This record gives sequence, structure tokens and C-alpha cells, in this order.
Amino acid sequence: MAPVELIKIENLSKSFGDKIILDNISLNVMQGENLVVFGQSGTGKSVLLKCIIGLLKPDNGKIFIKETDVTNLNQKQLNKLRKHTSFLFQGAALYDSMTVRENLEFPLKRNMEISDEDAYEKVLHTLDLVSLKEAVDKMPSELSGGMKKRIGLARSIITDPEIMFYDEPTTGLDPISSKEISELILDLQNQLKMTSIVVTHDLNCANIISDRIIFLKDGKIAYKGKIEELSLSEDKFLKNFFSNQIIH
Amino acid sequence: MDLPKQIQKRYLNLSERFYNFFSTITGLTLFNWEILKQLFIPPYEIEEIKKHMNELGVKTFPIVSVTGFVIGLVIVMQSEPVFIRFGASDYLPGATAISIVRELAPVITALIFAGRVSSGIGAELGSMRVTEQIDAMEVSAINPFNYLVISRVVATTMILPILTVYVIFLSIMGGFVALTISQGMNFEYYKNAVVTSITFGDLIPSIAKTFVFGYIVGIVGCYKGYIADGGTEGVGRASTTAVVLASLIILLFDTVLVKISLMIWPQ
Repeated sequence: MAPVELIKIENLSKSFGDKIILDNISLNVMQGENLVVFGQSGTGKSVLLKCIIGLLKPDNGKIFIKETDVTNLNQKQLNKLRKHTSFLFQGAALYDSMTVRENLEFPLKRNMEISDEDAYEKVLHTLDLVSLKEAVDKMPSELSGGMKKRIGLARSIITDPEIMFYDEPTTGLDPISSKEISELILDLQNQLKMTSIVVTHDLNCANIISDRIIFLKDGKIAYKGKIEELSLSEDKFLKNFFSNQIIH
Repeated sequence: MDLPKQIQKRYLNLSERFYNFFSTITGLTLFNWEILKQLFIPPYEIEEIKKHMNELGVKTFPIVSVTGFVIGLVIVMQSEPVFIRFGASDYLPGATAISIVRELAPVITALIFAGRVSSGIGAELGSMRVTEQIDAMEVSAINPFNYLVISRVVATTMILPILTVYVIFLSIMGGFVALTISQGMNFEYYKNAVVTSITFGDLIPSIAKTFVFGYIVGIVGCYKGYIADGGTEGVGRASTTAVVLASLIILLFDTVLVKISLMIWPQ
């Protein structure tokens, strides 16, 4: 069966004031693919994700998710589409005032017809996937950085999304936790058959997760391809980038 | 710094302040419009409203209790020598009650409520904004405006009138305590004097305006928190400016509402 194009971006541009962040970007992501977006700080990686999910409105261009143009949707239509997607924020963005259980139940009960018992069962099952079943009654303030990321990941996948967006999933973690989170993401991807876009600085994370990577530079996609190909490139920028990072 | 540069800097500061002032007014107006648009759109966050009425309202009772009682006590202590000098001490209970009901209780309760609640809402929503919790709700197909803003604004609008009625009662009791200490006043006499001097024309506009004040406290706190940026500094700024702005708007609206109530219920 021919691969289906799940996300398609055409000539996307976004500026903040005079500063051009994304300049005429075009991109497509196939169903089941893990695309990693690389780039230095301030190159618009997170802006790209937020434009795709509709948190930011692009200045120009079109973004199609499952053939629906996100840029033309009203709030109701956007929410309908968002039921098929999920987003893991850099700081996990757990709701401070809720326990882990409530954090996970929140999107579930709001978006699905589900009984309390079934919701709790699903919470426990999802926490089991991220190996944090024992944290079910804890408050976010009682969790470490790595645990927060795992819980954030659990909250993102609890609604069984088809498409996942990860914004710096390993930032701020020690190398061991970072590797664990990357492997967990890959495991979940394989188990749940999701399509994902991962924004990261972490080459080790990209090495584990990615099917394909793109580099953002000066608002444009400067390089794209498989990590193995790009790491062998003779290009000065790529050579410098890869030589400054250690791949485990 | 030479004089032209000083003038230029002052001019820039001034223009920046004007810009900030008008952008806040415009922002608040649009925010208010959004609330009115979404107020009656389901889901109705009844549980959240109840929770906020408890969190924001019930927990304000201790501070307003003390304030309310002290207001009544101090007003009588301050006014008594003046009323005696003019030979009008019989009018003291009634006059005190009227000033408490018409102005002091609603405005002081609203200002205390603004100090406690507007800053709290500003800080809470501001913190949620800078830690991307609001964005997290939005990408989960949940309407954060309905869940976070409307529930809080409805709660503050409904709880402030209740707090005000309570403060009116306590202030009047404070007045009674002061008169009992100074004149050994009989409760029955005090009660009759208070009840006969207060009319519906005093009570209704005074309670009605507290709904407006409650709405102002809610909307300003939510607005400042919802648009917060710049990390923890932004959260602090949201919290502080929410109190200042809510207090100013309450005083401004008080003037307008007093004028309107005097047109409807002329004295």
C-alpha cells in the first residue's frame, strides 16, 4: 500500500515584528513516519510545531493535516481535528492544581464519553506504559523532571492520538533519563502506530527516534535526509554540528 | 545626559505609557466581549464555579470579617463627638448605617476582594500561561477560556454581593458595640434606629453595584493572567497590575454607578 501523506505544509511563513522566523517552508510527513526537526535556538522549531497545531497563526502558507487546511479552521473545527493529535510540551505543562490521575483524566473525560471506572483503568494502563503507575496520586510538584516528562507523555498518548508533536522532549534531563525518554517515545510510536514530529537539539534522541530529519536555518529548511546520510556530509555546517555532539 | 536626550527619553516614556494604557483598555474591552460571547455556550463549568466560589470567596471571609467589624466600630467612634457637638446623637445609628450600606461596605469589601482575589487569579493564570498549561489545554481540544476564565468571573461576580451583605451586617454590629461602650446603648433601640433609616433605595443599588465590582475583579485578574508573558517576572507583573487596575476601575465605576443610582432613586 502506498504511504499516505498525513501532514503537508506549503510555503509557510511566520514573522514576529521585523524578525522572520519561518520563511516559505514546505514539508510533508508520511503516515507512521518520525520526523525530527533540528536547528539552533531561535530558528523557529517550536514556532513550526505551534503553527501546525494551530496555536500560532502563520502569516502565509497552508498547513494540511489529513487533507484539512488547519489555517482555515474555526475554533470548533480545530478542536475536532485536535482530538486526533497530541502535543508534549518542553516543560511537560502538567496542570499544577491537579494530581497525576486528574491530569490524565482531564483530556480523556472532556473529549470522550467514558465512565469514571473506565477512565481510571485507562489512566493506570497508560501510566504503566511509562512505568509510573505508582505516581497516580502524586501532585506534579512531587515529581522529578524526568517523571514529569513521562507523565506529560502519558497524558499526551492517553487519548490515542494519530499524530504526536514533541517539543524538546529530552531538554533538561540527564543523559540516562534522556535516553530512556527517547527509547520510550520510540516504543510507544511502535506500539501505537503514531506519526510524529519531534523538535529537539539532542542528537542522541534524534538518532534513536528519527526516520528522517530536517535542519532549520535562517527560517528555511537548510538540510533534509536520514541522520546517517547527513552525519557523513562534507558540508561545513553539518560537519561542525555533528562533530560537536556525541552519538551514543 | 544632555537636555534634548532627557526630553526625548521622557517623551518616549510618556508615549509608551499612553500606548500601554490604551492597549490595556482595548484588551480588556475585547476580553469582556469574549466573555459575554462565551458565557452561555456549553459546557457550563458548574463544578469549577463552585470550587472558585469556595477558593476565592469563602476564604476571604476572615479578612472581610475583621475589616467589616472595625469599619463600623471606627466610624461610630470618629463620628460620635461630631454628632454630639451638633446635638444630633440620636441620628448616629441611622447615619452610620446609611453610610455603611450605601458606600463603605460595598467599596471597601470590593477593594479588599480585589487585593486578595485579582492578584491571586492574575498569578495563577499567569503561571499557567508561562508554563504552557493553557496551551496544553488548547491543544487537548479543551476550551481554556471557558474552563479558566468564565468560571472564575462568574464565581467572583456571585460571591462579592454575599460578602458585602455579610460586611454590612458586621459593620452595623461594630457600630453597636462602639455605642454600647460609649453610651451603654440598648440593642432594641439601635436596631429600630438602623432599620427605620435604611430604605430599599439604599440597599438595592448598593448590592447591585457589587455584582459589577465582582465582575471587574474577575475580569481584570483573568485578563492580566491570561496575557502574561516573560516568565516569573511576567507572573509577578500580572499579579501586581491586576490589583492596581481592578481597584482603579472599581473606584471609577463606583462614581458612575452612584450617579446612576441617584437618578433612579433620588434622595
